[in-house]
Amino acid sequence: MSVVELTDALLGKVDKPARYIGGELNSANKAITPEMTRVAFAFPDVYEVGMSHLGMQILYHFFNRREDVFCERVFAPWPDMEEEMRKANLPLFALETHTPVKEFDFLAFTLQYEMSYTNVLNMLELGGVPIFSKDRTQDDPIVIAGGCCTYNPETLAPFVDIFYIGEGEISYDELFDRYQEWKAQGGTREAFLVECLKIPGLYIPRFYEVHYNEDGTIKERISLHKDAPEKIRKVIVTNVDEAFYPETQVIPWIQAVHDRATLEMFRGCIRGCRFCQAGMIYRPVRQKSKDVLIGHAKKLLESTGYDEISLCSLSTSDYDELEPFTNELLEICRDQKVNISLPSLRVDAFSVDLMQKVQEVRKSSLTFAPEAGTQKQRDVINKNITEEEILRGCKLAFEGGWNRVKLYFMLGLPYEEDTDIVGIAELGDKIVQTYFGVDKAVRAPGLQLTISTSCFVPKPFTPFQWAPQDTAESFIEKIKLLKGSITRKQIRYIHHDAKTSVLEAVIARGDQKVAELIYRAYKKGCTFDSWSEYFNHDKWVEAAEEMGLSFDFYAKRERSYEEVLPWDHIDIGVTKKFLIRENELAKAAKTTPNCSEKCSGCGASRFGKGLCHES
Amino acid sequence: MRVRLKFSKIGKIKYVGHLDTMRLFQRAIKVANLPVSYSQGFSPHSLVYFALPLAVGMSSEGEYMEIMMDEVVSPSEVKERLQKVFVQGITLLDAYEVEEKSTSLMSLVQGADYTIILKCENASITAQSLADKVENSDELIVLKKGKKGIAPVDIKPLILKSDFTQENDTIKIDLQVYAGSSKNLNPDLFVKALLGEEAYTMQVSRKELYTEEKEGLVPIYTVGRINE
Ligand code: SF4
Repeated sequence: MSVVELTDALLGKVDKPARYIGGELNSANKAITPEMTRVAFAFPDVYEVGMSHLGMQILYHFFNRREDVFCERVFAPWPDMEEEMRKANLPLFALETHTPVKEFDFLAFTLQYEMSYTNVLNMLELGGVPIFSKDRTQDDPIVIAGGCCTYNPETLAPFVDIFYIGEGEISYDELFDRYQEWKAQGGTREAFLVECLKIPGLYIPRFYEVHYNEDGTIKERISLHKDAPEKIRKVIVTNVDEAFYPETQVIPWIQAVHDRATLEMFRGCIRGCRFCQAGMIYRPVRQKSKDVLIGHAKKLLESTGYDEISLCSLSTSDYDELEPFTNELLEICRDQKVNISLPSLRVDAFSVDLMQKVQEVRKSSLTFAPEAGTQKQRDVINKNITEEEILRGCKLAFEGGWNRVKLYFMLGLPYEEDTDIVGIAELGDKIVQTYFGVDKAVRAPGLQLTISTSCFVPKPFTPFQWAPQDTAESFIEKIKLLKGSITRKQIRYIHHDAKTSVLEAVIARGDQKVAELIYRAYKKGCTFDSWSEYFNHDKWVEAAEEMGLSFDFYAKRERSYEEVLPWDHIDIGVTKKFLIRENELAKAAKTTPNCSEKCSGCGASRFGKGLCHES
Repeated sequence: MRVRLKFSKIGKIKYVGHLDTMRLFQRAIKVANLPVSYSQGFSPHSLVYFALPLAVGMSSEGEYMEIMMDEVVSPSEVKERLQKVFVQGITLLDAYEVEEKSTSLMSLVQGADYTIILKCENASITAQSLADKVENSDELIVLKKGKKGIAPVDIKPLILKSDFTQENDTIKIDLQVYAGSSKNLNPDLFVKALLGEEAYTMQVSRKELYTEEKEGLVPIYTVGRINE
């Protein structure tokens, strides 16, 4: 085993050197034995971002609960560090033991956003691991990838040996067991991958071949091995109360983006917003019981000393026992001087009341996500909230002494018209009027209303997976239109970059040809594409032109229901039939009830768990 | 009660900056389940104080911090419980109670010892040449970044002692300077004043912090101490 030594001279030259030293509170430290399976868990972004990610914290402790497995962490070195490492010829290493990633048994990436893909390639290259799966030998780690982006694995298929589709608690133990057997017997790498075909939830691209039609769409995907399943069904935890949950978190040396204890309330969401990928791929909804959550909260706070705890869920307000749960949590937190952060609340009386209890100082702002400006458009996306509810919620907030409100919207949603965009400004205007309607003596002075828009990116496994995305020009027009419609000086408008969103759409719904685009862009020097200071749109355009790839084909083109989609071999439980029905309802601006009101038969009940089976 | 701790910060952990180290201690104190006191008001924070910030990359054998507690816990127990939480790099050297009304830790600090290991590319710079430079100049002017931009300052009056020893191709400097909130000399600035634009690398370690008594500078751990 070799160790990468970081000299003082080197660390003295880089920004935030603590990113690279390891040894944090609650990090793992094990005596290494030859039998041990060593996993380098890689997050393809900088330390502060990766350390904020709950999934990584869960799996890190989940893997390390096994004595025969040692999981370490790896992050993308910031460009200044990368430069120093290249100059000094130092390979990418894992933080715990500073062992080069090449010496690990597994190099496991978690894929959370498309714009981090060039970092995956860069990390392989920095680690001395061949970028293409086909070029790897017995001396290389098995490169595995999981996380929400792997539901369309195709754009990274040539670079990854195994995709893990679903929740990590299910199949990793079996994977490690098989690996240890295989290692003891001394077979070939190929033999191990063949063995993995039998493990649920694993997609191994080398055992498939994709054929295309002349127009560039997919003709068919054929299995090259008798054991390679035609469809790979995601694996999920059925009993979330009994599922492993870490009693502790690794405490980052330097302040992370989210530096706090995190409680996972749910997996999945009952809502079924039609633009939301998480709402579909994590179905069916499974919620943890109050007592289990309180138990986790106590242990996490005890072992981390954090002064903030955050609830992680797609829709906090939908938690069954929200009131008793938050009351109990509040009590613990008050005792220990811990703040609670509550994301994803609906705009209703209960939320405002809760926020009031949680934030004794009202300095922070209230954040809500109506996503669209008009009722028609909210019905299109199945965001079941009315203008009345929004205004009532805001009124309560203003009466409660808030004067800063932030609203999130999307531009370019399917079937959107100009009136829907102007509608965002009008809604903003009504909120301002609501504020002035509250008694001067009650409301806090100086309303600040922030309207933030992002550009809609159609995602696989949503009812909008067939939809055309707006072009960058059209997004820019819409941004202009909205800007011009906002007249109130109390409203601040911020918006996202249109070009990044178009590229994101290309990658999100890409096929294996897009994998080549990513490779070419990477070769031109693209990394850290999710960081505006490093994002270089021109290089991506150049790369696409060189290979004759059209962004429009992936982003702007509307697909037919008959077309074979690149991710059709992945089975999330929710049926295509359901997605089609939802898209048709969207066209008619008709809503679908949420899972707690009425089951709409999406198909996810096949997992035998969740709300679908409780009622 | 007020418990003061002396600790060392050695190894890679020296790359964890001052604010992050403070946060680390605040968390460690909670994990150790010490009955730390909190400030009043809307966003209470734990009452934990550090003597003097330590720059990123600098190690130390003489750091001080203080914890205010609502309940009585013997200093040796505070030390033991806290030490269990720290995995590596931070070693608690001493713990003792100080009087409720004694001077705050921060305002006690008036002097500091540093050891600098210096390596210059230019071989004509030696321990002797540097010692001579300090000895023979009435003032040592260097540009310093301050609140009002960059301005020249004379650091000579801030130097209390400086010993230079040649050790093969490195120069070891044992430096005693004024430190704290009223007069402070950063060792980086001292080296810059001596070497200007010359190329060099160095490692700095803080050795001890002092306060001024009638008899001169005395180490912080000797004052305000209530013996157990
Ligand atoms: S099967 Fe019914 S209840 Fe279950 S997730 Fe699908 S729509 Fe919701």
